[in-house]
Parts: sequence; C-alpha cells; structure tokens
Amino acid sequence: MSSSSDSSSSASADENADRDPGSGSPESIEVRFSSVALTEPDAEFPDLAAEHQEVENGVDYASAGESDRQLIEGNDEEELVIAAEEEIQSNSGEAEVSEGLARGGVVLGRTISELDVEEPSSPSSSGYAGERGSSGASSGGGSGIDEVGDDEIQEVRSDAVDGVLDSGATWAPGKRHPDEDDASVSWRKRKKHFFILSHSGKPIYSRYGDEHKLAGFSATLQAIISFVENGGDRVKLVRAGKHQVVFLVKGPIYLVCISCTEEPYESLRGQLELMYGQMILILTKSVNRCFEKNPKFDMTPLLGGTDIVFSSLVHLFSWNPATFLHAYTCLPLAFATRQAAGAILQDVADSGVLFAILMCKHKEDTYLMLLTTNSDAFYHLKDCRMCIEKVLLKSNVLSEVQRSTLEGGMHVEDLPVDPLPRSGSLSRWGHAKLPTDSPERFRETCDCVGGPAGLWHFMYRSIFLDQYVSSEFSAPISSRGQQKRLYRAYQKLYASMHDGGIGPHKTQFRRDENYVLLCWVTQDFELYAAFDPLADKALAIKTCNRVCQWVKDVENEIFLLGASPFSW
Amino acid sequence: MGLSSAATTMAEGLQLCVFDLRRGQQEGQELDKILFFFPADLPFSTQLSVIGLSEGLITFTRIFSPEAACEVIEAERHSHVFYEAEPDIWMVMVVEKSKESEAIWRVDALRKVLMEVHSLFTMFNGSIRALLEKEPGGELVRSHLYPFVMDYLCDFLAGKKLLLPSFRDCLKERGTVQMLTVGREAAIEVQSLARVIESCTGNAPCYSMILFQDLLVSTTLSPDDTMNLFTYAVLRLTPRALSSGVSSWSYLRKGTAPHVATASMLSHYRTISEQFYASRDISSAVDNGNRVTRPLRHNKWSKGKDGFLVTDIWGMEAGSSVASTPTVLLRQSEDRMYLCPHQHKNLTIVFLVPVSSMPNGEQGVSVMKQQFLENAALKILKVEEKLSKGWGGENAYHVSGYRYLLVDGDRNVSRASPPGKVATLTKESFLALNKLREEVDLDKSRAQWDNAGHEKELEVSIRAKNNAWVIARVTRGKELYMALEKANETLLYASNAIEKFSDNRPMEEDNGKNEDEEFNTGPLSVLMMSVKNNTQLIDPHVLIDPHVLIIDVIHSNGVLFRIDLELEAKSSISLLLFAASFFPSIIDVIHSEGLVLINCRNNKKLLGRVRAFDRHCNIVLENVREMWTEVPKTGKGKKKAQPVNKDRFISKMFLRGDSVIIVLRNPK
Repeated sequence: MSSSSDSSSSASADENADRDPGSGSPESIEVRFSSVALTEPDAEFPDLAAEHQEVENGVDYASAGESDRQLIEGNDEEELVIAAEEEIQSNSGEAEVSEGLARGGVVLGRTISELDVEEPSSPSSSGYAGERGSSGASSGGGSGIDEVGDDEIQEVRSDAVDGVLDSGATWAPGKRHPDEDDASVSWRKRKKHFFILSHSGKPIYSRYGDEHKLAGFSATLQAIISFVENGGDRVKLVRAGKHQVVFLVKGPIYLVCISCTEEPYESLRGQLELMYGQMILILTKSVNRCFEKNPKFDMTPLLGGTDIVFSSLVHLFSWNPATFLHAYTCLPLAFATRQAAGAILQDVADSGVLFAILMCKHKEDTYLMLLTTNSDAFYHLKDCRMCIEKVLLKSNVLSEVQRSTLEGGMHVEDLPVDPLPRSGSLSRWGHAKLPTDSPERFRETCDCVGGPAGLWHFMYRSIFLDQYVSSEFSAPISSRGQQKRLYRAYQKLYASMHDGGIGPHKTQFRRDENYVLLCWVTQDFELYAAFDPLADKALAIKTCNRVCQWVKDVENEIFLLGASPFSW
Repeated sequence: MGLSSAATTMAEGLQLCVFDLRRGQQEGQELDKILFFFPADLPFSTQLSVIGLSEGLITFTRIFSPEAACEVIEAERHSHVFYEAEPDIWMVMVVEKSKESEAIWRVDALRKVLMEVHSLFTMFNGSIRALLEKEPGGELVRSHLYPFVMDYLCDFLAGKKLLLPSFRDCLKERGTVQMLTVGREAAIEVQSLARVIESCTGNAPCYSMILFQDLLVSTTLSPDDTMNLFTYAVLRLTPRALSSGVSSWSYLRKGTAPHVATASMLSHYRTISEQFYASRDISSAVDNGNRVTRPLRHNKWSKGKDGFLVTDIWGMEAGSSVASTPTVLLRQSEDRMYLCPHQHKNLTIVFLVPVSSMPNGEQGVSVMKQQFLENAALKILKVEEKLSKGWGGENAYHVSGYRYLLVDGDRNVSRASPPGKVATLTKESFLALNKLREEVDLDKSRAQWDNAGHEKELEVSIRAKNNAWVIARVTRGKELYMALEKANETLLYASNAIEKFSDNRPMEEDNGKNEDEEFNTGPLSVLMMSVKNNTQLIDPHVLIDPHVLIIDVIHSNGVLFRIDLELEAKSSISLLLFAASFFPSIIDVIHSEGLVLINCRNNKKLLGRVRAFDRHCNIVLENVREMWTEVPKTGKGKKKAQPVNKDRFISKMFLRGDSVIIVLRNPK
C-alpha cells in the first residue's frame, strides 16, 4: 500500500513541507516505512527493511519534504501516480467501492499521511494479491507468486517462441525469464520490453532478462538518448517495421519501451509515465538527489523485490482500460447502499482521518484504506478501523457488495430495447429483489450475437466524475485474446481521438476486419462502443444513443456521484 | 551573403544525406561513408554525427526487427526519415519541426521524396552501387549525386526555405501517375498513334509515353518506368515545365503562384551550387573521363523547330553542333534507351529507343526522328485536337463539396481534387486529415509485416473539432481520402456523402458531351485508366489487339470493380465493353456461356445465360427464369397476406441495361 501512502503524502505535503520540514517529513517517512513493514511478507522483510534503512540514510529529511513538494508541483505527475494506483485497484473485473471523505482535507493537507490496510480474509486467499500491483509489494509477495488462479494469459502468448517457452501460459506477477539477456533470441522476440535506466546507463529495471546482464544494452540505450541530447534535441520515438522504441527522460531516469504491439506512441508514452510514477511512489523523488551526488549511483538494490509491482503494472497496460482512459471504475451498487457505506466512512472522518476508501475484490475480500492528516492520528486509525469493521458487519453493505460483485456490471444484452427513460430502469442493482436468474437465462439464448444491432461492448466515461463504466464482455469477445485485442483497439481509438495538436475530435467511426468502432466525445462524456464488423451504421448509431440513455438512467448506481476525491 | 549564409538558412530546415554502410569501416575513415550530404558546407564533424546516429540506430533496431531496420526517428525538434535505397545504401532526411512555420510532416510523404530522387537518379545514372563498383574511390558517384540531388532540391525552394511536402499536401500523393480520362474515340486514336510510333523504329523494341499537359494519356512502359519517366516529364518536359522554368511535381501543385518571387533566390542558389561542384566536376571529369550529366537542370530543354525537345545537358556530339540525345536506363530490362521527347501544343510524346538498336548512334536517331515526323505528324495533330476538345480544364476532376484524393497503390495511379480547391480547406481540416493519413500509413505498413498478401480493409470517418469530416477508406489496395467541410453533423450524413461521391456517375459538366465520353470521363465513376499489356490474361483468339484498357470503378458500396475494356483496332467499336469484378475476364462469361443472376430495378431477378452484352449493360439472355415476389390482394379488414414467390420462363429476351442493378456470375 505504499503507493497510496505516497500519493496522498504528495498531495498533502506541499503546504507544510517548507514550513515544517523537520517535524513533518522525517516522521512521515518513518511511519510509512513502518506501515510497509507491517504488511511486508515475511520472506522479503529483512531484505527490504535494510533497503529502507538505506534510503533513510541516503536522503536527508528536509530534502525528502522538498522532493514531495516537487512531486505535487508537476500536477500531471501526481495524477499519473494516482492513476497508477487506481488502475491497479480496479483491474480486470475487480470492482471497488470508494468513498472520499473530507475532500477539502486532501487539498489543504498537512504533512503526514498514513494508511492502513484491512484484510478481513486471510492474505493467502486468492490471486488478487499479484493483480493489485502496487500493493503487491507489501502484501502480495508470497501469495501472488504461487497463485495463478486467474489464468491471465501472458503478454507474449501469441509469440511462437514464447508459446514454447511458457507452455504454462498463465500470468503470474514477478520477473520472468530472468536468465535471458540481449544476446538470446527469445529475449529479442519478446513483444514488449520495458527498461528503466539511469542517466549513466546503469540498468534499473527490465521487464525481461536480468538487469545486470543487460548492462551493455542499457548503455546502448543511454548512448542513443544522450547522443541526441548532445545535438540539442530529445529523442521520442524510433520506428522500424512493426517495432517502436519509445523514450522518456525524467531527470536522471531514462525509461524506454520497445514494443511490436500495435499500440500508438501516445499510449506507450503514457505507460512509461505510469512506470515512472510507480517508481517514484516507491522511492520518492529524492532519488534524483542521489544521482546528483553520485551519477554512478546504482538504484537496483533500492528496488529489490519490487519486480512484482512493475510486472503487475505492465500486465495491466494490456488489461485495464483505466491505464489509457485516465478514469477509474466503481462497483455497481444501489444508491442507498453506497450512501450507507459513505455514511459509515464519514463517521470516522471527523476524527482526523483525511481520506478513506473502501474497495472490494471477489467475494470475500474488502479493503479499507484510510489516510490521515496527522501523524498522531495514525494510532487512532486502528480504532477507526475496528469501528468501521463493526459497523460494516452490522449493516448490509457488505452483502450488497458481494451480490454486486457476483452479478457483474452492465451486460450489453440487457440494453433496454425501449428508449423511454426509466421504463427499462428496473435496473438490476436498483430494486433489490429483481430475480437475477431471469436475465441470465435470457442472455444465454442470444448467446453468440452480443447485444442489439451487433453491439459487442461499450465503455462510457463520465468526464466530470473521472469515472468510467465498461460493459461485461459479451459472447463474441469471450476469449482472453479477443478481449485484449478489443482493449488495444479502444486504446488506439482513444489516442486517435485525443491527438494533442488538433484534438479532441468529436465523433469517429472506424470499420476494419475485426470491429465497427464508434467513439463519441462530448463535453460530458466519452462513449466507446464496439460492434460486429458487419453492423449497420444507422442502427449502430441509434444503439449508441440508447447506451448513453441507459447509462444516464442508472448513473447513480454505477458511478460514485458527488465525491471526486481524485482531482486529476 | 554567399555560400555559407545561404546554405545555413536552408540547413535549419533540412539535412539530407546518402551513405554506404559498407564503406569506411575502419576508424578514421568514416568520411568515406558519406556519398552525399546537404548542406555540403556543414562541418564534417556534424555530418559524421548525423550519419553516426543513423548508422547506430539502424544497427540497434536490427536487434529487434531484423526484417525492417530503422524507418524514422522522432525527436522533439527533428524528424529523421530513413530510406534504404539499395542494400546498405541509406538515404536519411532530417527535417526540423516547428508548429509556427507549419513545418508538420507526414513521414511517408517525406520518404516518397527520397524514393523519387533515388529512382530518378537510377534512371539516368544507374544504381549507386554500380557506380561505386565502377570506381571504388567513390568520387564518381559523389560527383554524380551532388549536382543531381541539388538540382532536384531546387524544385522545393520557395523564398529562402525549402518547402517539403507538409500537412497541407495531404491530398496529394507523390510517386503516383495522374491520368487523363479520355473518351473512347480519343482512346482509339491514341492507340493508333502509339502503334505508329512503334512502327518508326522498325524491328527494335520501342516504348512510348503520351502526356496531355501534365496528365498521362498512354504508356507502353512497365509501371515502374512509367512512374519515373512521368515524373521526369512533369518536372522538365511538359509545356508547363518548359514555360515556367520551374517545375511542379505534378499537376496537383498549386498553379504558378510563388515562382516569380523565388526566381531570384533560385538563380542565386543555383550559382552557388554550380560554383561548388564546378571545381569537383572538372577534377573528376579529368580523372575518370566520365562526364557528369545533370538531367534535372532547369531551363535546359527547349523546343526545336521540328517539335522535338532538345537539350545540351548530355553535351554536344563530338565534332558537330548537334546535341547528343539523352539516354535513360529502364529498370526492368536495364536497357539503355535514347530519350526522344516531342511536343505539339499540349501533347507531349516521349519515346524510347534502345541504344543497342542504333548502330550508327546519333545519325540513326535523327533518321528515326525524321521517320517519326513523316508518319505520325497528322495523327498527333488529330489526337491533340481531340484531347483538347474533351479536356475539362484545370477543374475537370473537381467534385463540388468534396476535397479528395484517390490512390491506387497497385498501379501507382492517383487522382485528387484540383489544388486550387484543396487550398480552401482550413488548417484544422488539413491537420486532422494529415494525422488520419499517418494512422492509415501505420496500419498499412503493419498489415504488410503481419501478413503479406492480405490487404487491409479499413474505413474511418472522423468529425474533427472544427466540425469537418475527414474520411479514409482503404479497400483492396485502393485508398480514398477526403475532407468535407460545411457538412452535416451526423455520421450518417457523412457516410451518405461518401456513397454519393463514389456513386457519382454522370457529373454535371458532362451533360453536353457525347455519350462515349460520358461513359469514360464521368470523373469519378470511372476513376483511373491505364493502358496495360494484359495479354496473359486474355484469350488470344478473341483479342486482336493486346492493348486492353482497364478502368476502375468505385461502386456505391465502396467496392472497387475493375472493368476490362477491350479495344479492337479496326472496327472502332468493340463488342465487349462491360464486365464487373466478379468476371475474371469477359471472355470467361462468353465461353462458359455463364449463368448469371441479374437484379433488376423492378425488384425482379433474372437467372439466365448471357448471349451478348454491351457497355450499357444491355444484355441478350437465353433460357431466362424471371423471379419475383408478390403480395396477394386481400379484402378490407383482413390481415395482410404473406408475400408469394413467383417465377416464369422466357426463352429469349433483350434486357435494357438501365434496369440492371447487379450482375452475379454463377449464382449457387
């Protein structure tokens, strides 16, 4: 949970950092470490603790405060940080309930931030740990690695070489193929490489292969970047056949992605930004200072054991639309239920808690995240947790949440045929006792066609709320490969609509061998819809209008209204 | 003033180099790699760093992508565009980006510039590699490349800057031929002219290319050679190129606007470049006995009294005052050919005779020219007259409301809205379209790597911020791009607009023409036409003349059909003028007495055998089964009856073509 702690501290630290660096920042770092330590898996604990120590030694406290301020200054950086966190939380079907408290508090924040993790179920229970990505470092270690229950197909799955190498073909977080280096053919054929290196060419992270063995390769990357820099320029992209090499320079840190996926440049660059944000979350910006002092500073030990974080993040780039939509998604809940949950969290808000978020995943697991504004309040948090736990158990919030996770989100098959407002809004979450089995059966009958007019899938992003809702995958896109391809298509569509220089465009219709894609951007929302490639244009447009109407009808159930704790 | 200042102002915008990776492998010999560098007065260290970076990235990208090395580097301020002209010989263009000066490029368009200069160079001088092998020191190739590329670049000079194709040129396609659509009568005249020209050379194989203004009318060359020669003709030979002194890279280029203003700069620049390589020139010429020709020099062609265009670029015939005849290399056969251009008013005829077939050199050529004049003069007059009459003027291919570009990648043919009309688009529309073209370029190149042979099908319509629609449609190797401003908001409107555009058969301005021309010159229904040697496809018994006109049609549903149009030499009108893409060739249908299903406008279907048909789709059918559905009449208040299938048999019928909607072969 280090990510949350950092992002909030960045959000809050700026005001007080310079006024009160001595008392605020050091404590915050200390406390943060202790919190990380609290949830650290045993196996890695001693190791990491040592490294944290090193950070503490390497960075003087005042500078830590300053670095926090830097983080907030670049507003986009912060947003990416949070985005990174968000997408991780809400990945692949995982839903979350979030409720922000004391929004003003976030803005006015004081120096210290803290968070606590509640894990009602046993930590080893399921595969979520790895998928949670950023939190994987703190709690996921053991359980994430051995657990492959999610059957995530590996990024390079379709590559022939990999098909052989990874006959298991299941996705598990953590570094794979650590034995490879740039001389191995298999390594060269990986579809998507990510590298982080320092400005002196020292490798910091590589998605595939062992960092130390890749030192020579890193030096090459560094040489390219600095060569162009010497000419007074900055290299952004190199293209060769199907391959793209994307460069991102962040102070002393260089990030490079080499990919032969069809993702557009803008998306890949966004992914590098997220990687950087993730790294800064773990190490804080004070690493820049380390490089100032010693350009040859070797950062790899600092990131030891965090492979799992990055690999999860990289995995999400293919599986979570939040990574390119810059929005998060909510667990569909009846308005009343969500309000009840909000009220519960609100209760603790007065007692110094700055920020609380309730999330859930699968049936049993619910997380509560609390942030405070004050170091003393940290100890108070535990009380809050107990208190909330009690109330939650008493109320029906948890059971509602469970029901919703079981049912999933919006199904294109359920798109109300009748466009009259509200007539079709016997929404499945609204009026409690809608028999859940009847739509299920209906769905099975029209199995292979998707929704009306060949509608296969849609995503709706509310611009004011920074939230999106994505329909469940319908039958025509049932396989993992198809789903990933759809996300890629959306990603491309997004990039094409939001071109920096001339965008955003208003409407786009795109037909190729795989889909008819329709995108509609207004001031209030963005709609992305995928249809059968043979779908009729006029019908498709009508259907899109109906989808928008539908979403608006059930808005208060699928979105978290009123509170927008993340302002990005 | 002077060399350095002029060169540096230009250097800010552009660097262009040609280098050979096989040379200069040893430390300290790096300079040996450089075959050409513009601007030439840049310090060697800078030149080497550009080449070093390029070479480094070529090597680097090959690690991951051995099949396709580096194509482009995008940096914050520059784009480096790569083109591997010949194995291990690379051309790299570095252009500076700048939003203010509208320096926004499409990489593919820039690469096309590199391709063009290289193919032109090869056409006149042979491949770079061959020149290097001839003289391993490299001086020979350098002395050829420098003046050639500099002359070529002069064409882009506008004011003090080189104007490369930018986003405003996104409705143009370099490296394609623009064709004139001609009426059938005229086409036949052109055919017979081409034949007359061939006969002038006796037995030697001879090729000809006929242009009307800057548009291609007919060619007997292979597509590649047609491309090169067409480009050269438009650059230097056509009436417009001759009169303005400054060429346009195609008829698409904006009228005559900025040329006067640039003239002084141009001449100034030219003197600089001349000074520069004059010194080199002499030394190398002396050393190697190889004279450097500069086929792209301006104002060097002039029209002689006999109508032939002459130039002294290739020097004077030894011992006489007659200029030597220029020669070019054909790409496919690698034959060296004499290049003889002849011009009558708007008509330019270029014909090529193999050097080998002229044992007595220049003498033979002048004899042949004489023969040409005797035999073809009348025909030329006639053809020119006919084409001028049918020519709709600069805006002949304008379709009101649309700004479009059509490219047939297979045959390197394109057609676009007239530049004057395109220029009315707003910057936003240009940018949006340019961006869309970039996306399509990427998609295309990926599809090419993914599965060779499988062609990309794509349709994209975008409503941009300024409410213009920009549209791209790729079908079977044909690309259609357009921008619609002042268009309605709904997507359906936009797609209807495309349909209408594609459907648009008899255009307004054609009303007055005779129907032959209507058929062939409806500007968009019949889009592209080229004369091809197509004998291998056609049954030789039926076909008397091996020349077959191929016309492509964009049909209402966006599919491009190909119509094979056979021209018979003697009877001026041939029987067969109609086919659709489902007929691999017309002959098939006739020979197999093919069963066809015809959808008629009265909503009835005809299933029968074709006896005969003509270009109006009038069809004589035998053993026809006519099929339709009827709704039986019902009394008042009763429920509507179900439709009933009906059919009847007709042993022989004549179907008037205007009722035909679709013809399907062999319906199962």
